[in-house]
Amino acid sequence: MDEPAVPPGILGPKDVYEMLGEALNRIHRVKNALGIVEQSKPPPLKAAVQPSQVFIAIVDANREVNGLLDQQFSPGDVFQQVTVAVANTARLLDSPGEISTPPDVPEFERRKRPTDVYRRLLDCFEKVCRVGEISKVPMLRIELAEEQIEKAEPSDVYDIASLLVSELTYLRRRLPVSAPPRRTYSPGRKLPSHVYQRAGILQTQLGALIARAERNPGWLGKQDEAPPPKP
Amino acid sequence: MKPLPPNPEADSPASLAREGFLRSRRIEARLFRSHLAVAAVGLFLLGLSLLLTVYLRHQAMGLARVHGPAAQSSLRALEGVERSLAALRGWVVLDDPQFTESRRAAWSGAIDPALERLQELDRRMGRGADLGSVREVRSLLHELKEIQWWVEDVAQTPGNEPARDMLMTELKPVVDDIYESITAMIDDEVQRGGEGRDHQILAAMADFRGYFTRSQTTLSMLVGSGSSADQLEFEALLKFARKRFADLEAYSGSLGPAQQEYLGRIDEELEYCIGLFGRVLARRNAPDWNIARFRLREEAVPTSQQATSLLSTLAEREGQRMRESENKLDILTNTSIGLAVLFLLAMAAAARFVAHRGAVTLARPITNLSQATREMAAGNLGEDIPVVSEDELGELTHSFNRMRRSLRESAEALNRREAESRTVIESSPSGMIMTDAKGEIVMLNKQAAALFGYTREELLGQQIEVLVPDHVRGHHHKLREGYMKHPEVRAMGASRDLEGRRKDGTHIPVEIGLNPIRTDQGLRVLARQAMEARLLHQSVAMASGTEDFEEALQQCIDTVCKVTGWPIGHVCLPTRDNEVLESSEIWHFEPGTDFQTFRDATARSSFAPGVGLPGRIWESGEPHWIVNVQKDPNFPRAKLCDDLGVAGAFGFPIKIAARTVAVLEFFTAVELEPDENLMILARSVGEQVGRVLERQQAQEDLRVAKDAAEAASVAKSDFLAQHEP
Repeated sequence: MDEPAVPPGILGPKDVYEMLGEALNRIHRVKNALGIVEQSKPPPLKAAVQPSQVFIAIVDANREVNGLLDQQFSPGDVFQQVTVAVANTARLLDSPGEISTPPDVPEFERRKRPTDVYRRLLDCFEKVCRVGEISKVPMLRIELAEEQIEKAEPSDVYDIASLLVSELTYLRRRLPVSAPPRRTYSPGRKLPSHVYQRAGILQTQLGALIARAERNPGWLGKQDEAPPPKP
Repeated sequence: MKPLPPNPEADSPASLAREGFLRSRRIEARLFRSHLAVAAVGLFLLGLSLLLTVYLRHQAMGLARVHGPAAQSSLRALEGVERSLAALRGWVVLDDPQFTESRRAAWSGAIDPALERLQELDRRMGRGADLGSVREVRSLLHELKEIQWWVEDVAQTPGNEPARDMLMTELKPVVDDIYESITAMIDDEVQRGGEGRDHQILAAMADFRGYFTRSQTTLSMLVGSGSSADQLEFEALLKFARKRFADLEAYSGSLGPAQQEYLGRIDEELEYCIGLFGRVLARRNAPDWNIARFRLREEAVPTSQQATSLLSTLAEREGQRMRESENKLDILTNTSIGLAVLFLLAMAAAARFVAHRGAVTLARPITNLSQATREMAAGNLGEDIPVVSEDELGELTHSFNRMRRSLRESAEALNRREAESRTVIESSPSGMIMTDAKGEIVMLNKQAAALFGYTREELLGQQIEVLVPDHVRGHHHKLREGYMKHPEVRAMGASRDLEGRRKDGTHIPVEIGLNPIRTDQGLRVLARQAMEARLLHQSVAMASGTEDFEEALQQCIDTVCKVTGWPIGHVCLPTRDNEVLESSEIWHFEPGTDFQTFRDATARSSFAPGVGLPGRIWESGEPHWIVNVQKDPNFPRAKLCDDLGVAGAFGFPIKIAARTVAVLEFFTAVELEPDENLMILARSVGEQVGRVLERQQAQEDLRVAKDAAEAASVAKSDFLAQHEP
């Protein structure tokens, strides 16, 4: 089954809506293959929806879908996504002629929960937004209520990690010259504490990236050009 | 240095006062410049030494701060790279966390500090350090660090071996399902075996399960080993499994419904498995079947080799430079020592030259002044000292010259006064003798010496009693001491005839005037023998006492010789025809003297007007003085013999009615300067004696005329008596 093409330009609610429509069609096809005839009634469309509201809705839906899976998203999946984010951030921190190295792994902290990882990744997301703000690049902003954060599940963490990867990839592609990020592989079984630890690496990297952007707000080159399509 | 031209205005007090302030600092400035010149020489050479030291320091610093540390840091980084690589290999192979710690320690403890040190050296020394490869090293080390990070990150994860990951995550569930399905089929077949089932079916099922299970075991081994033998075994087992599965399918009609469902499911899953087998094998046979090892081999090791090669080159180059610098430093140090010694000698020579020059320039006027002062102290007030500068020394020289001129003028004035006094004393017709309080003769004039028949040198320093007659000498010193107690101006022996004792022991009449004089050396007594009036009085008296002309002349020369102390007197008379003067027999000789040679020469001579002493007096009618007849060109008698025995001479005419009737000449054995007073006195004596003689001659003429008149009267009376009737 082919992936849908990435729409050009800045993604908006319409793009998300179309993507969700495509996902719904797939579900219908699966239902038909399985001989399920029961049909669900779509909710009424809201007239004005903010992107963050769409994101929250997707997170909720993703959480529901994830609950249906036999093999649900694991901390190892999140770990790999965070590692991809680390690899992208490393390329963003590269200097001309010099490749940057991810910082040393912070201390391992036991008994971390997905919520803790979620908070740390949200902090990373804030940092990415700060980089975009300094660099005058529009970035997605997420505002979550505390109760939503407290209810975070591995799939939610995976989503925020995927979003981070998306935003960082977007920034990396705006660089005039950029080497491809390191390829990542299955980390195997991981605990939330491992993910939390890795997210600490990303936090440190993003702190350095903010400092670089503040030193040179034009580090991404001219921003009046059309931005590359988001992955 | 050329002397400055004299500047009369500069000597004026106003000018000196005007320029005083400026001049007051000139010698200070010259001294300052002189010292500064010496210091400048030292500073110049010190500057050269400093430059050399700076250059040496630069070389030493390059050795100590650049080449040595650069080589050391390069070696340290090199060692760190090798250690980190070894640790990474250990981690990849052995999965021991100690290796990760060791790798990080290699970076944090060796590579990163060494690289930072190299960068610091590169920044500090700039192009001078010529560490251009540091940037390349830095880039390579960063790349290596990044590679190692990712290698370490992936090494001990399932994803590190994609084939195994695929085996475990994708293939294993399907294989397990196939195993469970075939097991379920076997269980069914076993339960159905009692009904006379064909054992071939059960055997096919069992064989399939066995071969399939063994193939999976072999595949697991193959994924681990990558051995071609394992792969061949796996392929053979899989082939047997598939064959037995095909045999089983041939018995599908004999199978129950459940078994047929299992058979179809196995058929589908087996095909899927075979596809996955291919993918697993392909992944296993790919070069990057182990991601960490692949990255290690393909990225980390080459990058490490490049970095170590660069670091080795850098270390070797810096080591070579260090050795070169050491050699250079050694040469420069030796050269520096040599130059320092040379500079020291040059500085000493230059300082001596400059200091000597400055000292000479400064000291020359002072030396000149000192020399001039010594000469001045010795009485030499000659020429001015050249003024060679306009500073205080020049001013001092000016002042000294002014003082010297003033002293010279004072000395000259003093000398003039002394000469005048000496002339007065010496020209005095009176003899003068000065004694001190103890009666020692400290000064006398020639008249006094001549009066007493001594030379001046013979009397100086003698007691005055040597000139006193013997009968008075015994108590004369008491008289003298009495006078010294109440010194006053008075005549000595005014009421009686005093006599002096001449050298030859004869006594001469003297009239002495005593004058006390207070000097710096104490009280002096000036004894003056007044002879002018005595000479005139006695000459005229002696001439008046005789009626004979020649006797009168004899008395006259005797008196003159006696009063003046001249030992020889002589009279020349004109011949009858009045053409020449001839020697008369009228002579005066001091007793005990022998002037026979002179007397003989005089007797043989005659003197025309202007010839010799008498001729010159006869011609001029004036007294005349000859200092030394032996040296006088107009003294014919000196040519008649080798030594006349006389030296000084003077003479004067005796005139009657303005006609020279005689020339009186006087001689002495010593050379004497002209005595004007004596000449004047001699002229007066000649005039007075001439008038006396003229009066005597007039009386004689009157007497002769009276006698003639009387004779004529007698003759007339006789004639008349004879002819009277």
